[in-house]
Amino acid sequence: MEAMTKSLFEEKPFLQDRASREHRLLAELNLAFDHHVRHCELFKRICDSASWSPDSPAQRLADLPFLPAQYFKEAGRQLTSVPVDRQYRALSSSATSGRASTVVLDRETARRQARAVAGVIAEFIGPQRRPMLICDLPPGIQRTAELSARAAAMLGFMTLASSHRHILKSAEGGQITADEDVLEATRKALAAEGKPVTIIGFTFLVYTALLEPLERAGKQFPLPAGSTILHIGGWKKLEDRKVDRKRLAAAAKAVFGVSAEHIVDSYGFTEQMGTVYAECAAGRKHAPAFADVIVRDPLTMRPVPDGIEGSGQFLSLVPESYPGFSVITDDIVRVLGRDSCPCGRSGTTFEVIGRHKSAEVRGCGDIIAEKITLSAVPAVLQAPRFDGDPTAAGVRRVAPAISYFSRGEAFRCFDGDRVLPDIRDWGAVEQRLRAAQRELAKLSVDDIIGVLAEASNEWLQPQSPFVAFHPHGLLFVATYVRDGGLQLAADASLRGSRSYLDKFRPDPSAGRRLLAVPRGLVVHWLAGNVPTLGFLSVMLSLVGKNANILKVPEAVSPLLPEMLLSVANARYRSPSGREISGRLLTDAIEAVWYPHDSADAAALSQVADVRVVWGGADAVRAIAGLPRRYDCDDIIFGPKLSLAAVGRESLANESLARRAARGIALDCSVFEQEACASAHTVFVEEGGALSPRAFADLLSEQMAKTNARIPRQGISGQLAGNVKSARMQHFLDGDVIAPPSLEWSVLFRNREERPPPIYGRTALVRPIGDLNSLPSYIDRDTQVVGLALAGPRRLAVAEGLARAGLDRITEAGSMADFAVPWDGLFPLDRLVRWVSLAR
Amino acid sequence: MALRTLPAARVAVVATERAARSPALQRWLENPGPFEVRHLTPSWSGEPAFDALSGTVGELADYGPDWIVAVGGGSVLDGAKLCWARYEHPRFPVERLSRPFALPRLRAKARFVAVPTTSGTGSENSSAAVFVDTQSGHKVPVVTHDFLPDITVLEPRLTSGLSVRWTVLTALDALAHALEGRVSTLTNPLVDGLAESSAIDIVTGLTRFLSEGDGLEVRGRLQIAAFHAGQVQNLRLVGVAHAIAHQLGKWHVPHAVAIGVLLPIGMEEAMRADSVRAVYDRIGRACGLEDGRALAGAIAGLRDRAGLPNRLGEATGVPSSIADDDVERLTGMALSDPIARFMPVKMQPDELAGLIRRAW
Repeated sequence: MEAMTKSLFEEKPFLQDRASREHRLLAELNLAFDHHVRHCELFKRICDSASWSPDSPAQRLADLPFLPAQYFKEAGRQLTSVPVDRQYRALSSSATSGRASTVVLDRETARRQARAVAGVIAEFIGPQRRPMLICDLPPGIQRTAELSARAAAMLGFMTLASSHRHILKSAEGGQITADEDVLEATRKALAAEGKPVTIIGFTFLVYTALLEPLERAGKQFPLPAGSTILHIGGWKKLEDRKVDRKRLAAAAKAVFGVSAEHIVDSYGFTEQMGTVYAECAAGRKHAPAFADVIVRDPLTMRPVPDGIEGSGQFLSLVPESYPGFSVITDDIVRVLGRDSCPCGRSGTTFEVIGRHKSAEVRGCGDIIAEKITLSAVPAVLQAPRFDGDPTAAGVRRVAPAISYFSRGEAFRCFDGDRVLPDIRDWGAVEQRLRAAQRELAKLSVDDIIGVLAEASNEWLQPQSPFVAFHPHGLLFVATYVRDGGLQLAADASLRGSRSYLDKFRPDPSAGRRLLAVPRGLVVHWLAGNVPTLGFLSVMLSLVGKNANILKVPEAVSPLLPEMLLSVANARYRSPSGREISGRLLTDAIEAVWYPHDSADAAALSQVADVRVVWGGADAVRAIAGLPRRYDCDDIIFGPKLSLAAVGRESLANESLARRAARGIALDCSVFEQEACASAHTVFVEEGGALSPRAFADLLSEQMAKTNARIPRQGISGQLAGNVKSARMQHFLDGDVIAPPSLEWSVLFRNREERPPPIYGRTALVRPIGDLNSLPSYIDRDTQVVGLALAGPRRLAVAEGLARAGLDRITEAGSMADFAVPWDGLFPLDRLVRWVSLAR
Repeated sequence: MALRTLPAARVAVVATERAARSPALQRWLENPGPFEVRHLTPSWSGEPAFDALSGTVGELADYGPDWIVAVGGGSVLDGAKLCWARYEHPRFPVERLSRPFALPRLRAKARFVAVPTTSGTGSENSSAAVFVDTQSGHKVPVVTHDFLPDITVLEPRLTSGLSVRWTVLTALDALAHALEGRVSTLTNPLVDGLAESSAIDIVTGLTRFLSEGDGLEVRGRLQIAAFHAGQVQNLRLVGVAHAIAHQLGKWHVPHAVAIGVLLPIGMEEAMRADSVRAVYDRIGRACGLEDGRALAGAIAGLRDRAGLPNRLGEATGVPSSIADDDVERLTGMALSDPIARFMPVKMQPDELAGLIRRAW
C-alpha cells in the first residue's frame, strides 16, 4: 500500500487515464479497507453489520464500504486505526452548525495531507513557491494535540509558500477583521518585488472578514499581476447573504485588483482533510488521481448514473490513521464527466449543488409531518407552495391577516400577482360564516358525508396529483372517508346515531328525545405542514354542520387548498335524488393566515364557539392562552408518540414472534413513522423462548419486507442525519441491524429505556423485564401501544397502561387504524350542543 | 296494538295501499301513539329490483324515521329491509351487497318492525333480504343478522284477506323451509324440533283450512308455524326446491308457485338418503300419514286441491316446455347456489337436470 500510495502522490494528479487510475485506486483502497478492518474495531463492526468484508474485496469502486461523514461527529475519536501512542493530533471541524467532526491523525497522515494539498494546488496556481497571505488569524496554538480543521488546512497550504503572513486580526469584542497594517506593509513590500502573491482562506472568512468590509470602506490594496485568491469551504454560510461567485469576484477586483480567472474555488471537508477538489476555469471541481467521486441516491444509497445529483461519496488515499478513505457527505453533487474537462485535466469532475436539504418541516408536535422533497411533488401542486415569506412569493401583505381560501375559492397560496383578500373586520367574516352555517345546517348529515366522500374519490384517483401525497397521510384520510369512517365516527360519537344531527330522536336511556345542534363557528389551528390530519377535524366539524375558520401555519402546504377545492367541486346525489353541491360546505369555510404575534390571534380566538388546536406543546399552550368566549370549548390534539410492546407469550415460538414482528414493522413504516400512532420504541419482554435481541433480527427481516411492499419515498437531510447519528450511537453500545441504505433501521440496545424517537422507519428495540412495568414508560403524551400479547395477562397489562395515561391499545400491526375515541375523546360530541325534548 | 308503545319520535310505515286499508292497521295509523307516523307506499311491486327501491329510500331519507314498520308479504318485507339498509348506508356499494355479512351495522338511524301479512316467506324471522338483479334475472340475497327485526307482529287478522290460492302457496313455501331445513347438512339441533312441529302444524293446518274453511284460529296457527319455519330456514338453510326456485327469475315464476311444484319432487330425491327418509317418515306419521313418501304425496295433493300448478310449465306466463340449453344453464346455476352445498343428497348435474325436466 505504502509504495503504491507514494507512487500516486509522486505522479502528477491530473494526467492518468481513467482505466489505469481506477484500477490502481481500487487496489489501493481495497488495501485500505483491509487495513482499517484489522485496526479499527468500530469500523469492523460497521462493516460487519453491512456484510462488507475485505475477504471479498470490492470489484468496483462503488462496491467499497462507505461511512457517513456524520459518524465522525458521533465517534470520530473511536474511529481510529492507530494506537494511542501513534496518535499525533485530532482535527475538529468548526461546528458552527451542529456537532463537530473529529478525525485522529498520525504523523504519516498529516504528512500526506500536506503533500496532497501541495500537489493539487500547484496544478492550479503554479508549482513555484510564492508568498502567501493567509486569510485567518495568526495561529495561537500550533503543534498541539488539538487543532481546528481550518487551521490544519491552512498549514497544508502553507507548505507551498515561500513566505506567509496572516492578514486577519481579532478586534475588540472578538470580531475578526482585516489587519490593514499588515496588508499595507505587505502590499508595499510586494509591489517593490513585483512577484505575484496568493491569498488563501475559507470562503466565508475571505468574503465577510476581508473583501466585504474593505470594499465597503473603499479600501484598496492592489496586488501584483498574476496574484491569486484560493478559497475553500463552500458557500453554505454565505447563502443567507445572497453572496455568490460573481459578488465575491467583484469585491476581489475592487479591493485587490484580482480578476475572476485568478480566483480558485476549492472543495474539501474535515473528514478527508488534505484532499482538495479545486475548480478549474471551466467551473468544474476536479478529483485528483488519488481520489474519486461516486454519487448515490440519498435514501437507497444506490449509485446513480453520472449527471444525476445525489449524495457525494468521496474516495481518497490520504487518510491512513482513521477509516476515512470512503466517506459519504450530506452534500448534493453531480458528476459532470470523467477525463472530459475542457481544461485538459484528467479525472472525475463534479459540481456541488448544495447540502441535502436540511429544512425539516415538522409540525403538529410531530404528528404526521409532511416531509415532501420538492422533486416528489407534482408541478401542479408545487406552484402554490408558500415558504413562509409572503413577500418572497410575490404577495404584498397589506393587512395583518389574509385569506387564502374564501367563499369556495382557493387563492393558490400566493401565486404570482394576485393580492390576497385582507381581513380587516373579523366581525364581517364571522357574520358571513354564520349565515353560511345556517345554510349548511339544512343538509342532512348523510348529505354532508356524501359530498366529502365524493371529494375523497378524487383524492384517490390513480392519475391525480393527489397521489404524491398519499404516503403523507392522504391515502389514510381519503380511504377513511370513502369507506365510511366519518359515518362510523359520527355514530360512535353521538350516542349511537348521527341522525341526532338531523332530527329529534329517542334517547334510549331516558324517556325523552334529543337533538344535536351545531356549536356554530369552529376555529382550527392547523399545525406545521399537516393538512391531511388537520383536515380530519375540519371534516368532522362540517359533519357537525359547523362553520369553520382554518388558521393555516406559515409554511402552508399546497395540498390544503387543493383539498378544499375538490370539496367545493364535489357533487353528491342524495337518496332522494337531490344534487348537493360541495360549495354549500366550502362556503362555510374560511382559511386564513396572519403573522406571528399579531393581534389577529386574539380576534380570531374570540369568534370561536369551539377551538380545535393541533400542534406541539408550545403552540398549544400559546393558543390555549388566547382570550376566548366564556362558553367556548377546546379540543386539543397535542404532541403524541406511540410505542409497541411484545409479551413473552408472543415469543413462545418463531412463528408467533414473526407475526408480531410483521405487525410492528408495519406500525413503524406506514405514514413514514410520522403519525402520532407510529411505533418507535419496541419493548420486548425478557424470559420468552426468543430473546429481545433475536426478536430484533426478526423485526429487521420484516422491516425489509415491508419496505419492499411500501417503499419509502425520499428522506430529508435532517432526518438522514438523525438516522445516521442514531445508528452510530448504536454501533458504539448496541447493535445496528440495517442495510447501508437509509430506508429503515432496527437499532438494539440491551438497556430498559424509552429513548426519544428517531423517525425515518427506525425501530428502537429495547428489552423489558416484565410488561407489568410498561406503564412506568407511559405518560399523557403517549397515544397508542401496539400490544403483541395474548392470553390472561392482556387485560391486566392493558388496564395498567390505560391508567398510566395512554389513549389506545391495539394489536401489533393495527396502531394506525384510527377509530374514535381519538386522543381520548369523541371529537364530534364536542362539536355539537345537545338539546332535550320531553316526550 | 303493540306498536303503540314503540319508543319512537318518527315512524315510517312501509305498506301497500291495500295493507294500509286493512282495518287492523287502519286503526293503528289513526291513533298510532306518542310519535309521528308517515305512511310510505312501496316504490316497487312484486319481488324488489334494486333500482326500484330508490323512491322509498328517498322518502325515508327525507322523513328521517327512527323506526321503520314494514307491513306486507315477503316482497314488501324484503324490500323494506333493503330500503332500511340503504337509508342507514346510502353510499354502500351495491356490488358488495351480495357478500354475506358485508353490510355494516344497522340501527344507527332506525329500528325495524316486521308485520307479515302472509304466512310463508319467513322474512320476518330471517337474516336475509332478496332483490332481483334486473340484468341477469338472478335473485341476490343480502345477508346480515342485523336484518332480524327488532319486533315482529303476528296478527292473523292481517292475513285474513288472503285468497285460498295464496294462503296455500305461501304456506307451502313455509313448509319447504321447515322440511328442507330440517334435513340440510348445516345441522343445528336447536331448531330440529321447531322444524318438525312447524311442518306438522302447516300440513295439518292447511288440511283443515281446505276442508273446514277459513278462520282466524287456523290462520294464527299457520302464521306462527311460518314464523318458526323462517327461523329454521335462517339457521339451517334449505334444499333443492329452493336451489332451483331461486334461478327462475328469467321466467317470472312466482317463488311460491315454484316451491309448490318442486317441494314434493325434491323430497323424493332427498329421501334417497335413509336419514332423510326416517325424518320425513316420522313427520308423515305425526300428520296421520303412512310415511315420508305419503307426506310428499299429501303436499302435492294440498297443492292440487287449491288449484295450483303441478308443473312449472303450467304457471301463468311460463312457457310450457324448456329448452335443453336452459335446463343446462339452470342446472349450473342451481348447483352453484350457496344452499346447494347443504343438500342432504349430493346431486349430479344430470340428476338435477332430470328433476328440472320432471318439474317442468
